[in-house]
Amino acid sequence: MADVIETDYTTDPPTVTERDFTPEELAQREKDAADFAAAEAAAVAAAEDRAVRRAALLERLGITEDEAVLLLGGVG
Amino acid sequence: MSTLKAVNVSHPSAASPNLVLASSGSAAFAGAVTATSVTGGGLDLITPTSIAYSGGSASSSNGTTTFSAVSSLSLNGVFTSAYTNYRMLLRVNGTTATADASLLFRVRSNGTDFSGATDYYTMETINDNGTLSGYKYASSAISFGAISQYGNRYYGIYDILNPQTGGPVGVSGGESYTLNSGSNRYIAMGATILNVGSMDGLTIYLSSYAMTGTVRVYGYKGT
Repeated sequence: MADVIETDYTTDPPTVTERDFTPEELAQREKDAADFAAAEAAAVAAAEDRAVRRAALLERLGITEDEAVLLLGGVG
Repeated sequence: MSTLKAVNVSHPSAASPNLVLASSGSAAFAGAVTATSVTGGGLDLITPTSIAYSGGSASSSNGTTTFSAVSSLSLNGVFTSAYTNYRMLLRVNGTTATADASLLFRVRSNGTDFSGATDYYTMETINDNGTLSGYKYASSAISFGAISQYGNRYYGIYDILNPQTGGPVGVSGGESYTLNSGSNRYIAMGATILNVGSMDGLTIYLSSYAMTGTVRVYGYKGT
């Protein structure tokens, strides 16, 4: 199956072309996948770090998660 | 005030009445109803000159592009000198996703996506269970949230500002969807695309999996 299917609506009937990715498109897709994986890993690490720091802060303040939400104006 | 009473109203050359008036007060038009556009107002639905997609199938008719199980979809020829600003309505009502996958957006020109590594500056304000937080990043695409096993819950509405005149391009809007965990997301976002030339199209794509839905692009009249 072709990587990309293009339909040109400026012709009557529309012209359908099937083709593989160009080298540029393929390189961009591979880069996107690598960038996305790196961003996901960074986001997970940041979330984990935030959770650890949040838990430590709540413990220092001596309040629960529910009390923190109430204090900060969220609706829980 | 005088009243003109008639049942049928016809053009002199029309074979049958253009307009038939009923005693109930309703009116039936024989043909299509057209109206002169309001100067400076309203939206025009735009039909792409072409589309390109990967996986599945897609087609465009009368301004509505319908896609099924595609991993990416590009609309070409939607941004022209006829309008400065545009609105895009995006509906995803099906997916192959079994985990969260990012839904991403790029502008494009002459069939090639603009993908400057850090030229898409996005700010999201996330409302999750009433707790507000902000998320800002520079990337090679704009995040339009995510799809998941609940991919039929995705709705997005965006204004795309000044994509055709050489930038910077503004994108502003929001989306609602449900993460794979079942957590609902309602995101208001704004983005600026820098170092960009004149763009004539757009691409939406997933980081993984495939999506099914519809997308429409409108041009703001008088802009």
